Amino acid sequence: MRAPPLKPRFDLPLLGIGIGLRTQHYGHVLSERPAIDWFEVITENFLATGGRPLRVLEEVAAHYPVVLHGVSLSIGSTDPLDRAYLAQVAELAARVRPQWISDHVCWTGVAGRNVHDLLPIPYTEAALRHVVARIREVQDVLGRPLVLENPSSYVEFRESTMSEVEFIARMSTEADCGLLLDVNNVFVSSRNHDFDPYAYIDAIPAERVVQFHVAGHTDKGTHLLDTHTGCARDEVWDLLRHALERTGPRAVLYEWDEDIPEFEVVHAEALRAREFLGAPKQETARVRG
Amino acid sequence: MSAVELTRLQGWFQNAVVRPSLPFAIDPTSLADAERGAADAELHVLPSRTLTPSERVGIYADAYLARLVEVLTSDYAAVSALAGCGAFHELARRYLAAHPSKSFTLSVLGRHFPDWIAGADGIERRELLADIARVELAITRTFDAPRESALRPADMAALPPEVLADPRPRLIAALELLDLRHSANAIVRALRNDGDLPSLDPARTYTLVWRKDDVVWRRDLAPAAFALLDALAKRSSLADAIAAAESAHTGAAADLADLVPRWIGEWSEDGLFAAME
Repeated sequence: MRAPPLKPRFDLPLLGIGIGLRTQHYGHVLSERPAIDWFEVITENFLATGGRPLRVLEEVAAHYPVVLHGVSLSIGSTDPLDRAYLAQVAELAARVRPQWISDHVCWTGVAGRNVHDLLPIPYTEAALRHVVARIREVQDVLGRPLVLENPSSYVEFRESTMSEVEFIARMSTEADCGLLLDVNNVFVSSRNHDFDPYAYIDAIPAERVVQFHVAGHTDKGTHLLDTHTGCARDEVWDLLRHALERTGPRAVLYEWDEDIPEFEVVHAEALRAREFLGAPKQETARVRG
Repeated sequence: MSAVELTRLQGWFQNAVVRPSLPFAIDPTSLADAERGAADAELHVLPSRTLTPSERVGIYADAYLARLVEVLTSDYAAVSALAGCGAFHELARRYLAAHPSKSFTLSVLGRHFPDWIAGADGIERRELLADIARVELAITRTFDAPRESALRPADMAALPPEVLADPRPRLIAALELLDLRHSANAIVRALRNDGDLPSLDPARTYTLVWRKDDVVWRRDLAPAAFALLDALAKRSSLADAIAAAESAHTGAAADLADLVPRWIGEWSEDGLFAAME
């Protein structure tokens, strides 16, 4: 039986179904203005540039809702927060008025370096205190709730004293931030670390989920790799269905970042989410790893 | 785990991820280093059902190098094409060890690449590759330069007499001038477009790279035209810039008197002037 709708923690719009805005589709989006609910953009692609990307984003933002999705906030790093980066994000937000600003539960470097990857955090009390304090600081600078995404990961630290989902649940509550639940990441990590992805989703504070990500991944034999390529597997869509049953309708975004096909192909894959958004509850065929 | 231990753990993990990109300092094929790395990984990382701790860390290490080399290959497509895939990968690996990324944006990852090539040991055709890299860096930088509206020819025609008395044109920010020792612009064009490769022999050339209407353009210049624009870029007055052009001009003075107004007109059409002060 469907649970009664949850009251979301944040008063944010229900954007519908979107895709990530990628350079391969700039021309199509600008000339055809396709009927799509919204776009997510990689924040860093529009910082430190005054060229075409920024003009494209401004034009897209004039016609569609956009969300800024960052990869360099490095909320888990023990380096100081990059204030110059934050200032540029705030400036971009003022320019394009995103519906919300998101990033990842990860770190991207220490000692002044950036390895440009979403590195895993050891899930400890010290790390939790550290991340919560930094989220509050970022939210103060941006003047809005931050939305953070669960990562896909390939290692588990011996030092961890709690599960990833426990860390993220406590983090979101203690820092009062939103969550971007990437169901492909949940699936990838559940296979790599041998946990139940449904239990993971059930442990997420549903009222804090602002948005979902869906994507394809690559089976490397010994592990799954979060490559954002191709169509999502049915098991991943099943996870989205299950998660939406808990949260009620939320924004859904399809990510496709390798071997990117034509716009219509990506959009068609994203529109598979229609089946689960507002559709009558159907029995989910759970396929577990 | 304390905050200090968290810092140490992140430092260890980062080193493990970037270590394969370090040349010479640690040889990844060395058995001793491999054993030490595996022992460190065992200390901090759990095995999975299918992977050892060091294999799990290796997923991040492989991705690190692949991602950053891919960025450099994209930014320096002509250098990569001329050097060859394997040689370029080795160049990129050595460069990343010397200039690891310290920025949130990958768009500046290769900003030291031309200078690094010019000063590095053991690179075949080093000076040629450095010149080609300079052209490709100018393309990237010009693409990302701040937006600025340019004076249109009609704006130039409407300038007040007091400005025209001793004009000091200010060039747009999205503009670079390159003094090169090879025909690097033509070589880049050929390598990026699969065209016929011009001579790779040394030949001094002057190249203008600029952005207009969000498109990056490139043009080779005569020495006098380069001298004129270069002087303007250094904020000389137009009169002083013309004097610089005269010094660089090898033809008859009368020719230059015809050429300068034509160049200024072309550059105005090309949107090179941000203001006339």
